[in-house]
Amino acid sequence: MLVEAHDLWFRYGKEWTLAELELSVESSATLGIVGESGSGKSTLVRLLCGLITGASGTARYDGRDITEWLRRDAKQFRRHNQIVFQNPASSLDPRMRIRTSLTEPVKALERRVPTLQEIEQWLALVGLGSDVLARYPHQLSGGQLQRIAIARALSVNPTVLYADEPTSALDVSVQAQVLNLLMNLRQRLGLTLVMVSHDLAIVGRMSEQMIVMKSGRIVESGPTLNVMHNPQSDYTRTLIEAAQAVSLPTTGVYENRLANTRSGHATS
Amino acid sequence: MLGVRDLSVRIGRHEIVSIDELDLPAGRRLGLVGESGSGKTMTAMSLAGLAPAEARQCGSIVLDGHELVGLGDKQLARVRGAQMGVIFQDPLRALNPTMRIGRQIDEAVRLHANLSRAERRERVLELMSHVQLSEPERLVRRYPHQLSGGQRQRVLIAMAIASGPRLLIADEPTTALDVTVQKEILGLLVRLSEERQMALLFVSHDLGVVRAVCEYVAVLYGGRLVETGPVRTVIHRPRHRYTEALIGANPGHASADDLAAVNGRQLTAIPGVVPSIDAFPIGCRFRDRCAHAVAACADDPPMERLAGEHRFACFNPTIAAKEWELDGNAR
Repeated sequence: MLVEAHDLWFRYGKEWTLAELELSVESSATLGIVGESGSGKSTLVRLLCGLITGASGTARYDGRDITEWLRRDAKQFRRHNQIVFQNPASSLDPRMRIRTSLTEPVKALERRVPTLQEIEQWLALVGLGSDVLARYPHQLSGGQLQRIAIARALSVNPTVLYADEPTSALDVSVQAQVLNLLMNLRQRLGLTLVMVSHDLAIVGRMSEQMIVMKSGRIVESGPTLNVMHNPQSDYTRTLIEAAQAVSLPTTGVYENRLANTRSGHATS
Repeated sequence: MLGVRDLSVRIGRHEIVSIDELDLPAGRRLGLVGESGSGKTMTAMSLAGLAPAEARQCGSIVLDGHELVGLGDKQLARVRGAQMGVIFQDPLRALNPTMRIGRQIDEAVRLHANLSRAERRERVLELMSHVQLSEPERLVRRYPHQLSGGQRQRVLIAMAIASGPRLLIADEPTTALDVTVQKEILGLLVRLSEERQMALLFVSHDLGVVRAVCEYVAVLYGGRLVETGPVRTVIHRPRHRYTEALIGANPGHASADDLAAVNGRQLTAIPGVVPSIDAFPIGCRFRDRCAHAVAACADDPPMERLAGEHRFACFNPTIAAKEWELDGNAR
């Protein structure tokens, strides 16, 4: 197992934000974490990628305790574990040109300045041209900024990419572009992708494994299709129903049209 | 009830809204759909008379027999106040953070009815129970920050329906909410519109939400109406390429079986982004992002009328629909 957690507890103040968490992620897998606001899903990924510390229980990356690893060799750990946040505009420094923002991780973690050729390669990965390098964040669209945030995360060749609601700030059409990009990159680079989302439709579509969280606990976990087909907990069922209430027929656009064609003839 | 004819809203030299014809009968629900920058909020705000001061409107908006285009602020306020309620996306910003909930709803009641203090208090509690806020006596003493997102949105709905409006305009009312709360709020809006015969103009970027709430849909792109009709017809048999693309980009699934077929598969993304208002191409505004654009698209596509109030403006509409038409003609 690449990422593991056993009996993981965490609290910011008095109340437990996370309780009794058990989790394991295989190398190159995709894991989706769903839950409503306050379920602890963002706290969980921040713990796993080492942005916050102080949990009790065990959290391991590649067999080694994460806290231990962070203390001994934080840079090495961060090279393996990168994260992309919900709001790309606030995760990029507004006063830095894109080129500077992009080079930060390599400067910090590898103590060298990346070449222009390298930077262009990262941009090509996310489908952007070098024309964005001289721009400032406010001159780019939300979708472009999220691509840059992804390119920056990938610049240190991470093993695991955490994505915390990576598309909630984007339009449906741009959301589709970014989700496709993540799926592509995962395949091409063999990334392990851990994605947090409040949107069951996105997790259902993107991930092989999923976890449903509520009030800091895991209420259900397993292969995505099993969980969606045959949810065991009432809470998962409630979430699925709420998501289905606002769903569109996807595969079905063509078939549904045919189905409607037939009824169309019947009425005409 | 609400009728729009040849509406054009301009800011400077840019036409930001252009709608040839749009009707919303009393008690019915119409969804305005599009990406950010498609002009859906501008359209809704123009209809509510809340367009920015520099916007120039021409054409006609008739609400319950009153022509709204060309009215002065005061006259507009009179018509709007009594006939129309508006709720916005972010309830926290729409509420006064320093005022107790009860007083804010009371303010909306006082504006529209000349009642005694006791009667108004009665009315406030009644409105709160209409929007299914539990324990209204306790909630009236709370401040906005002490409520959950769903409760705040219910408070805003209570304020919007205080005057007993014939039309409620809701601009992305559930985007900031969790899915389960979203479902409740959407259900509440549908119930209120049915019980009170109140028309609902529902603005959203999410076709799935619109399908759940509305009977009619109007798809906008670049401020132009590109397709409109009954929601089921438009979603199951879209004709405009933009509508088709929006449906394809939606990650939603109808059933677990559907999901098995799409899990891990790419979505049909729309290339590029919505350009800024001065950068749309001439002719069909979608043509530079459209996979099916033809030479003719350099001209403005005319609105075509199909059976059942279904209309669209596209030179190269969906193929499946064409086959259906040919097939239908052959019979």
